[in-house]
Amino acid sequence: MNERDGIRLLEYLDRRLPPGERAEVEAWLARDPEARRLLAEHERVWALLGQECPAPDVADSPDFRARTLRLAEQERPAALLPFRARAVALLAASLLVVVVGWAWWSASRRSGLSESDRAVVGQLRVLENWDFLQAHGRELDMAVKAEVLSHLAGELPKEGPR
Amino acid sequence: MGSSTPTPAVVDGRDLMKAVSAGEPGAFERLVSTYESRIKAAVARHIVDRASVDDLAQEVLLRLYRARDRYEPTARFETFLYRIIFNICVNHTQYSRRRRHMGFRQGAEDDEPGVPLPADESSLPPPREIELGERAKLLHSAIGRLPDNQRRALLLSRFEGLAYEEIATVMDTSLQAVKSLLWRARENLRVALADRLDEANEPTSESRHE
Repeated sequence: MNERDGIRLLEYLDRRLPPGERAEVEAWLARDPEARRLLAEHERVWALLGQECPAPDVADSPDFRARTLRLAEQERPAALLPFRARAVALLAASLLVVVVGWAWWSASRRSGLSESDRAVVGQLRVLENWDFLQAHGRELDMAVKAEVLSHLAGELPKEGPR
Repeated sequence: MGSSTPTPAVVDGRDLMKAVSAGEPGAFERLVSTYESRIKAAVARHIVDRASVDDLAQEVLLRLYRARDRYEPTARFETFLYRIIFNICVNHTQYSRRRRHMGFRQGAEDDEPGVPLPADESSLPPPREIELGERAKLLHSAIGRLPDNQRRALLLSRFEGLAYEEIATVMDTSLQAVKSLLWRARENLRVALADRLDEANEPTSESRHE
């Protein structure tokens, strides 16, 4: 028997066919002894499944119930937020980690120096000029001194160290 | 939960699940009491090792509990429930097989659909510690040799009483595929058993198809 006819027979056995199609199958069975034999064997095997395979012997157990309820209770706090809210919170936390991580990474790439070290480096030229003036101030005439002081004034930061 | 309410006000699965979703006290306990044996029986039919039945049944109930916020009572509760049972049992079977194969055939790929279980690994273990008759042995063995999907469809149809459409939802397949699986499962059983049942040493009793 091909699968198409087999499925028709299955639906007939399971009483799934509308009356018209059911009558068609009955007419087919009436004129085809082989189909009748097949149908009888299927009915027999189906009935045997019910007789020889009773429900597994599983019993309710208070211990099982108590354990299950306890486990469910333990899951409760995590499950208080609805699923969508938990998903949004997880996404927001991930984004925060990424942003903070990126900020830290880019800051550390910009300079390995601390804030106070950067202030000293910013004033390096000023300090060099100042040292030069201290060392050679007496030997210099006023015009040179004035020029050095003018350079110094130009190099001094306007709003404190950067 | 925790508080004991022995007389359930509602017995319909959908109502129970809605009560669990609404956080009604004692609702989950009522759901456990109502469905415990049914879930255990379904699990016991779908897996081989009886020792895992309680653990898997518990996992089914916990998944129901976790799904309470997402549950939408559009379909029959039983369809929703059997889908969870089915997925857990399929995963468990695949995991067990993989573990067994790793032990005996290092590196072998496993779990091709339709790999038949050995005859002694029928998913219908003896229900009680009794000696099975010849006829029952033949039947268990024939069911155990069915390809996985055919056997699962047959179990859902014959023992869980699900309609074709519900089986399709549970197995995540088409209606036509379910009909085909069921037909082939029943035809395979018929071919395996038809000649041998008469030889078995038990009287047969003809009974009408339900």
